[in-house]
Amino acid sequence: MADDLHAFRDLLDKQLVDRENRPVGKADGLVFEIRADAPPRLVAIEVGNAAILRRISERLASAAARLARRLGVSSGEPLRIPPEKIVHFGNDVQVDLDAPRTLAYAWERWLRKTLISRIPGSGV
Amino acid sequence: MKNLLKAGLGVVTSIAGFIEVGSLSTSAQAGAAFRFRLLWAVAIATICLIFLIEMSGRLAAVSKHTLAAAVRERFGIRFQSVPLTAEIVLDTLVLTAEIGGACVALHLLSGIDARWWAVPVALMVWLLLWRGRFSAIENGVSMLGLVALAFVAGVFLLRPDWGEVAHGFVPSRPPVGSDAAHYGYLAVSILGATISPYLLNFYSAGAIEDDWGEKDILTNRIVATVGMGFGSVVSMGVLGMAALVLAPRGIRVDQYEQAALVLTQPFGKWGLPLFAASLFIGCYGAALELGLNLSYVLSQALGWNWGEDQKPKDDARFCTVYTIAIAIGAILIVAGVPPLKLTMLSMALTVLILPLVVFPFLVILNDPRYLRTHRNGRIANLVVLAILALGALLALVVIPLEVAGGR
Repeated sequence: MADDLHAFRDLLDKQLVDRENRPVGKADGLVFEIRADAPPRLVAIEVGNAAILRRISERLASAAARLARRLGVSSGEPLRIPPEKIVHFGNDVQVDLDAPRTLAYAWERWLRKTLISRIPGSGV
Repeated sequence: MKNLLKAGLGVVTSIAGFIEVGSLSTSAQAGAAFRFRLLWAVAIATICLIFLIEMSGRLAAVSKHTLAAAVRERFGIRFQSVPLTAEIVLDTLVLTAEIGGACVALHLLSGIDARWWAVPVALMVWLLLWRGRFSAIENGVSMLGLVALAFVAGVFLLRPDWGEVAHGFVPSRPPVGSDAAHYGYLAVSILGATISPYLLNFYSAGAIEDDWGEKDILTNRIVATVGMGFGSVVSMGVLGMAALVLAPRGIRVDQYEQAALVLTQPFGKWGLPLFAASLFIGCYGAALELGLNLSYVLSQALGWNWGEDQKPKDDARFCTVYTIAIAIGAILIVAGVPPLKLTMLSMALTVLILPLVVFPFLVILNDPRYLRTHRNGRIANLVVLAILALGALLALVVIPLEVAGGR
């Protein structure tokens, strides 16, 4: 039986995990394409601070993006995961990615490099 | 033995609820001002907390999702942003107060001004989080926390009028001619500040760290009861000691040097070191728990990789959060912010967000996708509703009472 997918119940805010069940992030935003002659279509799941903050305040979202750019963390844009990458739906949503290499880990990588690895005992 | 070790999570969680600096001073104030009459507030707070803690643990054991993660997934970031922001502020305030409390304990032992201890204490907290494993933290702190049972032993040594003690468990109005606003303020402090969001989030994260599963549901029930019971008994012991030692002499607790007197009557020259050791361990344990909890709630609400047993390089965001929080705490204490003022502020904040923290329990603990066959029964749901009603009432009265009855 093909189950329905309720975008807001089953996808938005859910935990995303990668191929090896490592956390990617939460589904912070959903992007739909509006088409003239067909119903709207889900084109991407967004992950990242800018995507979360956009849901609360546009101004906070652009401030976060500016900070990420200024510090050289990333372009400030959220990671966009196309729905074709979805492998499995459950309490967690599994996607066909390698989490630590994605844009969702931009802050993780930046903090490791600029702060954590400089403190003794970090395991680097 | 293995199950005994599992109790460590309950005991360490309860330390930040009952034995940390704010709870200790509230209990001591309650005993000094109203003898045993406020014991009922400790008892009610304990029962509420046992139920909520059990639910947080059951959620984690069955669904492998922590409370903070489930609230995000089930309610979305728009709802969660309010309690989450409040909890970040709250945890940082209380963390600061705990660093301050540990400094006071070291001051009592050494005579050296408390502010000099802020940086060493903060480094001790940070170092254990940076290097330690979760099991070392939970078992070490809970073992050391047993020293606080000295308060309970002290009550027995001083042979109170047990009839009066029993009477204290019956909720009563303030005695005629006493300061009713202060009585109300203390009752709200005990009730509201004990049922703290950080205990619930920390416990459910701990259940994941300890890799609990469906087989641990009974263990969880016992650990929640034993752990919160331990904290509660110590809290009652502090209240009782203040009732027996401070109340007859008309001493009101507004400085720790006075609270320290409570143990010198039964234990003589050992009284002060015992008091200082209990205060230090309570505050140190609570500071560890709050620092970790900040990392937990942010990681879980935002879906990051997390875990105290990972090397810092493998969860850099997680480690950065507690590192920054501890640094802020140390700076505030060095700057001379008084810990007791912070605990008053944090108490009000805890009570104000309590309804938002408790409400999700009604939904998530009844959701078969998370709990499968282990959903809440009718009694558990009724208890959550009662706590919600109590929380709403407390949130309405906390600000007026804090103005009228706080001191």
